[in-house]
Amino acid sequence: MRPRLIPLLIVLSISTLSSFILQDLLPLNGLQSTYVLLPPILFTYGALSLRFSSMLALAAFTGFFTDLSTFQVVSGTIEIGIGWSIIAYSILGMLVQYIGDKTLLQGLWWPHPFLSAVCTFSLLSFHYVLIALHRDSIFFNVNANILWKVLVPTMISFLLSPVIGAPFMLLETILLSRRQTRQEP
Amino acid sequence: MRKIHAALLLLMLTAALALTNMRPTLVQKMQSNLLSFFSPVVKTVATIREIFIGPYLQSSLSTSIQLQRRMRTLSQERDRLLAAIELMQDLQEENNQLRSALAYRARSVFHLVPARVISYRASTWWSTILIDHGFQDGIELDMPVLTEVGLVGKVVTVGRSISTILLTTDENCKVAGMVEGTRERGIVSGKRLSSKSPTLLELNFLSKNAQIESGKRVYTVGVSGGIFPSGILIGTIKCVHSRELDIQAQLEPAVDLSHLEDKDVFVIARGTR
Repeated sequence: MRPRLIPLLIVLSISTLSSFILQDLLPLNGLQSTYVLLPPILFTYGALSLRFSSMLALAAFTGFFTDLSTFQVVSGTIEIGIGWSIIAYSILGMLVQYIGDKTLLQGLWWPHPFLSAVCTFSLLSFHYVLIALHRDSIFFNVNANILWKVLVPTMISFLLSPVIGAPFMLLETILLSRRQTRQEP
Repeated sequence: MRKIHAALLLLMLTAALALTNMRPTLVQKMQSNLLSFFSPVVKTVATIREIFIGPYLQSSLSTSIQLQRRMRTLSQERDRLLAAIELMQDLQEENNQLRSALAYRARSVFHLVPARVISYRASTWWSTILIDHGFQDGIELDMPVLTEVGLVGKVVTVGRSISTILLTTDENCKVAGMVEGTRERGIVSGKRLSSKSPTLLELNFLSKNAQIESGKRVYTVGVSGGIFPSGILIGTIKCVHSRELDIQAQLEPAVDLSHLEDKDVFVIARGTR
C-alpha cells in the first residue's frame, strides 16, 4: 500500500497552480504553435507517488484549473464545459497507478518521463476530440498539423519530466525516511 | 480495484459531469478571479523575464550610437503624431459643431488604451494572448484589440491588471467584414484547427455573384450592436473559392499574429478618455 504523503500532495498542488503561470511565461512559448505543458508532468508524478484518494484530489485540482485557465467563454457561450479535464485526469491517474502497481515501478525515476508523455498526449488528444466533436462532426480530421501540436508537447514533457520530477523525488525520499524514523522505537 | 476506490472514482466523475453544466457567466467570473489572483505574479515574472531574457531574444540595439539614432527617430515620429492629433482634434471639434448644427445623432466615441503583450497563453487549441492591462485600467469584456496595422482580436477574460485576448485566427472569433471597393460583406473567422494553413483567416457568406479579387483589403463593418467599430483592417484577400451557395475568401491577417510577444497593442474602449 502506498504511504499517505499529505505534504507531498500540498506541495504538488501549489506547484501545479504555479505551473499555470509559469507555462504561459516560458521563453519561446508559442513557437511553431506549440506549448510546454507543465501540469500533466506534475500530475503524473503525483499519480505515481500518492494514494488513490490523494491522486483523485490532485486530479480534481489540476483538472479544474486546467479547464479554467484554458477553455474560453466567447460572447457568453462556452463550447466545452469546466470539468472534462477532471474526468480525463482521474482516468489517467487511475491508469498510471495501475501500471505503477502491476509492474512494481513505484519509487523508480524512469517511469515518470514515459507516463508524463502518455498523460500529455492523452490530455491534448482528449481536448482535441471534444473540440472537434463540437465544431465539426463525429468524422473529424487528424492531419500533420494536429499531430505536430500534440506530439511536440508530448516530446517536451518526456524530456522535462526528469528535471521537474527530481526535487519532488527528493522531497518524497525525505518524507519517507522521516516516517520510517518516527515508526522505529 | 478496491470497492472504495471504485466508489470514489464514480463520485468524482459524477461531480465533474455536474460541473460541465456550469453557467458560462459563472465560469467567466471564476476565470476573471483566477486571472486577478495571478495578475501580480504574472506581471512580476514578465518583468523579470524582460530584464534577463528579453535582450537575448530581441534583435539587439547594442551600441549607444544605435540607441541614440533610434531615440531620435522615435522622437521625430512622436512630434509628427502629436501634430497630427492636434490637427484631428480641430477637425473633430469642427465635425461636432456641424453635427450639432444638423441635429445629427451622436456617434459612439472611442479611445485607445495602449497595452503590451505579455505572452501567448499555453493553450494548444485556442489562440489567445495575455496583455498587461485589466479592469483597473478600464478594460472590459469584448473590447476590440488592434495594432497600428490592423485588428488583433477581442478581450475574452479580464483580470485586475491582466487580460486574455482571443486572436482573430481562432475559429471562435467572428468579425463582420467588408471588401474594399465593393458592397460585399461576410463573416471573418479563424480557420478550422485541422486546416493545413491555420494562420490564415476565412471570409464566408459572400454573395454568389460577388466580384472579388485577390489583393483586396477587408475591413471591419460597424454593425449595430456589434463590438468592432468600422474601418479596422482585418486582412488582405489571398485566394477566392466559389462554393455551392456562396463565395469564400482566404485572408492573410493584416497583423502577424504569430509574433506578438512584447509588442504594443491598443484596446478600443468606449467613451472619451
